[in-house]
Amino acid sequence: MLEGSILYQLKMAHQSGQVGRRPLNFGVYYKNTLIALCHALEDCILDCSSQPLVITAFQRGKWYLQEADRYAELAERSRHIVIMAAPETGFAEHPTSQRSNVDLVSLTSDDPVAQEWHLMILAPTYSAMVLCQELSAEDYGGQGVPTQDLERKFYGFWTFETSLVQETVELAIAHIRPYNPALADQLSTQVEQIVASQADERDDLGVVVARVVDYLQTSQLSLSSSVANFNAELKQEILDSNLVSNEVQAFLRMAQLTDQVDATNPTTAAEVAALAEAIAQLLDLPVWQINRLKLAGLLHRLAPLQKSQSVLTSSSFGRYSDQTSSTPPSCPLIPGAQVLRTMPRLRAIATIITHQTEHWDGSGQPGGLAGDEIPLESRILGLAVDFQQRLASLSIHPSETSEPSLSPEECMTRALEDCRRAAGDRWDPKLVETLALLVCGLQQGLGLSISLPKISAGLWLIDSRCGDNLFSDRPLVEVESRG
Amino acid sequence: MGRHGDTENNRKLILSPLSPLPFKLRSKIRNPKSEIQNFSFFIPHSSFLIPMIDALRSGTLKQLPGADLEEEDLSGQNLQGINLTGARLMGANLSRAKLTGASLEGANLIGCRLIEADVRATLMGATLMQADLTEADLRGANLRGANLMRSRLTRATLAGAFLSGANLMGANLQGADLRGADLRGANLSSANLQGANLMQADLQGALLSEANLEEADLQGANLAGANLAGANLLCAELDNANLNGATVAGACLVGTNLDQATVEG
Repeated sequence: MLEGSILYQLKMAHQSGQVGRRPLNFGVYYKNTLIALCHALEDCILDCSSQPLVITAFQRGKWYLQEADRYAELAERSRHIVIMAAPETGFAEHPTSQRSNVDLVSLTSDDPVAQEWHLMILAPTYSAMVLCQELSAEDYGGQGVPTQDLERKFYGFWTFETSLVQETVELAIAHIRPYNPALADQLSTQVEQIVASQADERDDLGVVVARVVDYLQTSQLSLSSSVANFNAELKQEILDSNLVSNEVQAFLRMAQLTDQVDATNPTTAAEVAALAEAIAQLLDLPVWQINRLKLAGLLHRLAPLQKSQSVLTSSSFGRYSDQTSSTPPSCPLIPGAQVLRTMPRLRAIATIITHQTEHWDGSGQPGGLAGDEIPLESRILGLAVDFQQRLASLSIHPSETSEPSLSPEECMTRALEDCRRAAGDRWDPKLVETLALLVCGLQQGLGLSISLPKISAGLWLIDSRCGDNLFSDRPLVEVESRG
Repeated sequence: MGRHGDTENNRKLILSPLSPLPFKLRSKIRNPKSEIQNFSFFIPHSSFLIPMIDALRSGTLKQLPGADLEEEDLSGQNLQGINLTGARLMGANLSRAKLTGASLEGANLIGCRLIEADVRATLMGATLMQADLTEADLRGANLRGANLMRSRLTRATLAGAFLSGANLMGANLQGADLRGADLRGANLSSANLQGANLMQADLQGALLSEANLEEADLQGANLAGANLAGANLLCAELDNANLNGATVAGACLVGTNLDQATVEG
């Protein structure tokens, strides 16, 4: 990694021992993935309800010139846009470069940032960032430097995390300062203004994620049609995998945000996934079902049904059999799970998440399904989520009440008791007994490994069964709708 | 009845096409490998194999050591607890078969298809060269000393599997789940472990030269004394890994997280 590059500086600031900073986790990105990703995140600026500050690094002026017309449109909707690149012919002369709220920073040829690809978007209601560095000839090693432009390889990460975007923007401003101190001052003032006006009402991230997945899928399609241009099908497969990987990453990153803003229960996804996996192991479910359940656990917070029940009237839910026979039975849409449906390969995951709030006695939502009608994975997930939430609140809240704090064993016993009371109406009694077995094991020292998987390797979390239709044995049609 | 081959020049038995006699005889031989070299069943396809496979399917046949099931289609069959020690299964199709608790010690599974099969079985010293184990369940399987050269294990689950001394040269393990697997002294040279989950795996003294570990998760893995020469560790996660005495000459460590990893020697 090039010393002095923005990626390097950020990594250093996040090494272990740095208080309050999580270590960064890098992934591999091919150029065509980065293009699709950046186009999606940029186009969201056009729909953004507030004006962002945009700082980019384009490596070379010619790459910026390819995007300069698009950037004219983006500039219309932005507070300010900064382009960092090594200057090339026409770089400064393009009309976009002349706009009052667009500034160019001509990087010197020895500047490490000239080897980087950045897009930082910071607005009061929207934040996103792609931060990458290209592999050097030496880094490519035995594979050799690719001959096709689209096969050029980068490493880094992307995120929606506001605090991380802000931190990186500040690093970028510090990098710009020696080139243009006045601009750096101006940008610093803008960051202050944006930070001061951070709105509670954020732009809908689901829409952003759906666009990201959509653009990546489009890129996949054009890849397969251009297969004749590549003599090696293998290379196409690698590029395709990288696109799919980022589609899964988009969902994982969105789910991760829910955890990060939850101060009282910030490791929900990883814990629910581990609990659900353990229950499934005890039930000796086949491994593909366990894997599916694990992924559903990691993504379960995409469905905000538990929090938004009040806005749903009872009439909007009902049993499938209540529908008239002329229309196919359908299930009310759950917005969070719906975004997953932009990716057909995750159909089973979307179904599992959608039905995690069903009740064993049929009184739940959204389908009013009862007993074995509820997909097994949804039943397990629902129970794991409820148990985890009870556990988290029991182990955090005692200080606020007069009660003395509970030992982890007591917390588990209490949380289990609560679940047991609802066995038969809320929960599948068999599963509650399996949970009891797990709790018994945990209290006797059985360890659960709670860890988030490597997000950049998200592709490997989906297998051939994640796209199954879980209701294929019944004439159920879940309404598909695309925004 | 049975046709006995000449035992004079150690060319052993050619056994009856009439079942189940050969298996009875066979199971009486305590240590078949050392006592009778080059032993094989002579099984005419039509008259014998079909009833045998029917028995397999109905689950009534559990003892088939040394059986010859080359190129057979056993996909989706329930073969739980079956004894196929030293069996010949070259090119057989065992996709989605249930082999839980089966004994396949020393079996020949070259080029066998085991896609999505449940192989939580004993495969010590088995030959699985070029076998297709895509998305197979090998949790806790005993694969010590097995030959898995150039096998396909994409997205297979090998959590807690015993693979010490196994030969996985050139195997495709992309996205495989190898959490806590015992890979001590295993040969993983030129293996493709891209995106594999190797958390807490024991890779002491393993040979990983020229292996592809791009985006692999090696958190807490023990790589003491491992050979990673020329390996691709681009964006691999080595948080809390033990790299004492490991060779990393010529390895690509770009974007690799070595935070809190132990590196000595």
